[in-house]
Amino acid sequence: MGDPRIPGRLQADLDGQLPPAGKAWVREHLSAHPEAAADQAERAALARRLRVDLAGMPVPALDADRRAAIWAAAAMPPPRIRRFRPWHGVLAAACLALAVGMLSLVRVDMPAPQWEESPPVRIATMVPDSRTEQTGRPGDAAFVGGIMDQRRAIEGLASAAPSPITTIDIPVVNEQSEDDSDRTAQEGREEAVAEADMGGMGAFMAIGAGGGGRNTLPRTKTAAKVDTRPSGGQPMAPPPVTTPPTTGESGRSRAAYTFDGTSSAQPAKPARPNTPENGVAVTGTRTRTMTAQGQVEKLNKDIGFDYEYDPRGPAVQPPLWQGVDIPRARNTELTHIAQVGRGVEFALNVRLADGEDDLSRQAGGKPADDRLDTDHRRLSESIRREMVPNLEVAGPSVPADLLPRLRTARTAGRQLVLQDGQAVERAPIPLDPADLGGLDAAAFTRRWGAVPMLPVAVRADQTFALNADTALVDQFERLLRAGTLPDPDLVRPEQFVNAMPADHPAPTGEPVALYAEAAPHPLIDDGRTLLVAVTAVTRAPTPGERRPMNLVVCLDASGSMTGDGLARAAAEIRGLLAAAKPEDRIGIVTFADRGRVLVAPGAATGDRVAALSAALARVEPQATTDVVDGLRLAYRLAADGAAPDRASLVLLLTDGATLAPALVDDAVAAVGAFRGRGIQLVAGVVGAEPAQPLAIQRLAERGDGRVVDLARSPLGLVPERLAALVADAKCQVVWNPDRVAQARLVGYREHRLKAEDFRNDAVDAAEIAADTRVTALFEIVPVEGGSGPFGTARVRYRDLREQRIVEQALPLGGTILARQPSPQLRLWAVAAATGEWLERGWWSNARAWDRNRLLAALVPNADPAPALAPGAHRLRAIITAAAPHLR
Amino acid sequence: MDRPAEAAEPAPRTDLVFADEPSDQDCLRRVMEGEPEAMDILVERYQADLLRTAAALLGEAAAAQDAVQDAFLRLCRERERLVRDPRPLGGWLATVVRNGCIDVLRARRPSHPVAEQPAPPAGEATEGEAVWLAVHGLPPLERAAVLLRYRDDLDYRAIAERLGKTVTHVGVILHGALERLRRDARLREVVHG
Repeated sequence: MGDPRIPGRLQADLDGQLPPAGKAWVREHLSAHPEAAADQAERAALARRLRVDLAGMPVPALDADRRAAIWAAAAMPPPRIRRFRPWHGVLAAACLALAVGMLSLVRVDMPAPQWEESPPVRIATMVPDSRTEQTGRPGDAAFVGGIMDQRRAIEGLASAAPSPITTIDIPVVNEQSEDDSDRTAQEGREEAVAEADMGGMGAFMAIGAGGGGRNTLPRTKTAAKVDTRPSGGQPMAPPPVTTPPTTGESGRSRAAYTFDGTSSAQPAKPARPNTPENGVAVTGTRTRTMTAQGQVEKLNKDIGFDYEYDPRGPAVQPPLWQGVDIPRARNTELTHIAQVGRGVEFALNVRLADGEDDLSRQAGGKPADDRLDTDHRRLSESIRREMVPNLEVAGPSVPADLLPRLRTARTAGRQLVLQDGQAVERAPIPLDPADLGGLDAAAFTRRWGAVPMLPVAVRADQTFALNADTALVDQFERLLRAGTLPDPDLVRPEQFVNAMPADHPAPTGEPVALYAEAAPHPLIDDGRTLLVAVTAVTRAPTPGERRPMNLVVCLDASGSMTGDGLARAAAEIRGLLAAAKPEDRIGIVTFADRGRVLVAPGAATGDRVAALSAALARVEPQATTDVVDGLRLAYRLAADGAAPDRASLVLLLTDGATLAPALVDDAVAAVGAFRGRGIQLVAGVVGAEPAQPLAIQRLAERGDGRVVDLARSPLGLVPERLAALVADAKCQVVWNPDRVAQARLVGYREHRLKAEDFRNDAVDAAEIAADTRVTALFEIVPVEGGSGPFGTARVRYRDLREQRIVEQALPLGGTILARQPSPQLRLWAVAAATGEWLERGWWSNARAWDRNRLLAALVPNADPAPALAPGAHRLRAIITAAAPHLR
Repeated sequence: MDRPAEAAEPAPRTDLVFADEPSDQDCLRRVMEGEPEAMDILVERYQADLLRTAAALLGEAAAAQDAVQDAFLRLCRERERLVRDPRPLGGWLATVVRNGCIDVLRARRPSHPVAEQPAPPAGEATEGEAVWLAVHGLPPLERAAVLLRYRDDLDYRAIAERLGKTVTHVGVILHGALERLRRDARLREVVHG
C-alpha cells in the first residue's frame, strides 16, 4: 500500500462512496492483495456494527436558555460599527510593518531580516595576503570602502541612475587559485566592519573582498542583491581585452574596478606597474574597466557581494569632486569620495606596514584562519570590536573620527578631506552652479536629483504647474516640533516659499493676477545673481459668487482616528455644514473595514444638516480600514450628483495613517478612475501626528485637488475656498537671451512641464483655490552689459466658473529690478534656501546653505533691527529646530 | 493500474428551503425589520445539523451547544452584512461552528483530561456501550467523521463540507478511525465476533 490514496479509496468503497470505476479498481486491488482483502472485510464488519450501535445515539438540541439568548440578540439592533479594541491596533501595526517589509523586499530583493539587522553603515576592509609570494609586496594595501545612506543609494539603484559604486579597489584572486578550498583561507580574507554609530537613515551595502574568502565566508550571509540595471538598459559592451585575469596564473593581484564602461570623459585607467608611487586613485594596481556580465559575475564571486550594476556608470567625475583634496598621506589614501544622492560613498586605500600581517596583529594576534571559520556576523562583530580600535591605534590607517565626519559631510554638504591621515572637514565651498560637469540637464537631474541652472541659450523657458499646496511644510514643521528631522523627501522648496505670507492685492476682474519683482539675490553675494519672483494671486471669494457644491465627505473612521482625529474631523464637517446653502448637495461616507454611506447625498436643507450632524456623533472608529473602498464609494456618489453648474468635490478627512504604502497605488488608481468627471479631491489632514504626507499629496494631485493641513489651520475649510477657482494652472517664463545668461527655477521639481505643454490644455496641471498666492522664484545671471526686458511670464488656466481657457501675460521689464530686495523677496529667498537646505540635495551643497547664513539673511542688517514678519518667525523656528539635526 | 476518478455521487442538498417557507434571506430581513421571531425559523432550520457536527467534534453536548449558540449570536450581529452580501447561510453557519469548535479543541488540547469522556456505565458494559465509548475515545476529527458517517449517515461530500476537508480526505480519516477502532481492545470481540 505504497500509495497514500489507497486507504481512502478502500474506505470509500466500504462506505459505498466510490463511482463504478473506483469500485472496479478496488476489486482488482483486493484480488491482487489477499491480506488487504481480509482487512477490508474486517473493517466492513466494524462499519456495519458502528451503524447499528451508533444509530440510537441522541441528537442534542439547543436548550431554552440559549434560544432565549439568541432571540434577545435578534431583537437588539445590530452594532453598526465594531468596537475598536487595542489589539486591533497592534494587528494593524503588524500588518503595516509586514507590508512595509514586503515592499522593501520587492523593491530591493534583499532578505528583510538582514536589512533590518544591518547596521547603518558597514565598511568592508581587506588586505592582500602577505604570504602569497606573487604579490611581492606583503601588506601592500587594504581597501576600506562603504556606502552610507542605504535608502538613497537603493533608490538610485532602482531607478535608471547609475550605480553609486564607481570604484572598488580590491585584490582579486585568479580562478585557479580558488580551486583548493584550503588555500583560500590563506589567500584572502574578507572583513565587514559594522559601524553602528552612523546615524539613522544611513545604511549600506557590504563590499566584501578577497576571492578566497568566499569559500569560508558564505556570502549568502551578507550578500545584498541589488539590481542596478535600468530597465531597457543598453547592452553591455564587450570586455576590454586586457581585463580578465590570465587563467593559469596563480596567486593574487590587485585591481581597481572602475565602473565606467562607455565614458569618454573618464577613460579607463591604463595599466600601471605595481609600485606604491602611482598616483592617488590606486596604488600599485592594475585597472580594469568592468563592462561585461561575465566580469560582473567574476567580481561578485571575488568580492562575495552579489549585485549587478549599471555598466554605463557615471560618465564624468561629479562636480563635487572639485575642491576635494585627495592627498597622498603616507599610509592612507582617500581614493574616492562622492556624494551619491544624499549619501557619501568613499574608498580608502590603507597601506599597512610592510612585512606584517597587520590584520591578524591588530586582531589581537589571533590567527587569521581561525577567524575565517566564524560566520560573517560574528566576524563583523569581532572586527568592530577588535579591529577598529586597533586601527585607531595604528594611527596611519583609518582616522578615528572619519565615520562621524563622513556623516556630517553627508548631511551638511561638507567637504571631507584627508590630510596627513586625518579627516579634515572643510566648510562648504559654493560651487559654480552652471558647471554641470559635462552632464546634460536630464542626466544631471538623474544623477543628483536636482534641476540645474541652465544657460538660456540651451533652454530659454521654465514651464511648470502652478501648485499652491503648502501642507507638506505644515506637516514637516509638526514633525520637527515632535523632535524628529523629517525625511528630505517631504521638502519642496516652493512650498516653503508659498507658506510665507504675502500681501499682493487680489484681482477683481480676471480670476488671476500676476505680479513680478526682482533684486540682487539676498543670500548670494556674488554681485551678479538676481532673484526674480513671479506671483499669481487668485480672486478673493464672494459668497454670492460661489457655485453650489456637490460635496461628498469621505471620513476616515479607522482606529488611528480614535479620539482627537475623529472629533476634529467632525468639527470640520460641522463647520462646513453650518456654512452650506440649501442648493448645496452634501453626503457623508465613512470608511473603516469598508466604505459605508453614513448619510446619502442630498440638498443641504436644515433637516438634512441636522441629520448629518447627528449621524457624525454615531461614527465610531474601527481597527481595519479600507481607504480605497471609501474613496470609490465617495467618488461614485459625487459622480452621481455631478452637474455642470455645480462644483463637485470629494473631501477626504484622514490622519493619513490609513494610507499604508501598500494601499497608496490602489487609492491613487481609484481616484484616477474618476478623472475627467470634474471632481476635485480636497484632502484634509487631521490628527496630531502627520502620517504618510507624501501619499496624501500624491493622492490630491491625482485628484486635481489640494491638501489642507487642518491641524495647522483648524476649521480651515470654508465653502468659498473649498472648490478650486481655476484648474490646470500653468506658468511659463521665457527669458530674453539678450538680457539673461542663465536661469533656474527654484523648486517645483515635481511640477515641471515641457515648454510645448504650456498651451496643451489636455495636460494636467495644478488647481488653485480662491484668494491664494503662489510664487515662483527664479535665480538668474544677467548677461554682462545686456539690456532689454528680462523676459515674459505667462499663466494659463481654465476658469472653472465660466469653463473657458484664459491666458495672461506679464512682461518682465527692466523696471522690475530693485536695487535692494524688498522684505517680501528677502523672506521668500530665505524660505526657498531653507527648503533647499532641508532637502539636503545638490543645491544645498552648491549654495553652501547653512544655519547661520539663513538666519543672517532673515534679518536685514539694519540698526535698529526691524521686527520679524510672521513668516520670518516661522522660518526662524524651523531653521533653529532643524539645525541640531544637521550638525 | 489506472487510477479511477475519486468522485462520489452528488450529495443531496441539505440547505434547500421549500417554496412555502421563508428563505434564509427573508428571515434575516425580517429580523432586521424588528421581527426577532424570524430568527427562530433559522435556529430550527439549522440547529440539529450544527449541533450534531459540534457534538461530534467536541464530544460534549454542553460545549456543542455553546458553539452553536455562539454561531447564531454572530449571525445576529452580522445579519446586516449577510443580507447585503448574501451567501448560503447553512455553509456560513457550519464554518462558524467548525471554527469555534477548533478554537475550543486548541484551547483544551494541552490539559484537557481524557477522563472527561463519559464514564462507562456501572457493571459490565454492553456491546453497544463499548462501541460508544470506543468511538468517543477517538481523536476529535476521526470521532466526528465516524459519527457523521455511521450515526447520521451523511455521505462523504456532506461530511467534507461540515469538517472543512476534501472528499478524499474524509475517506482517509474514516479509514484511520476504523483502523484505530479495530485495534481497540474493547471492540476486539465486537469486531471478531
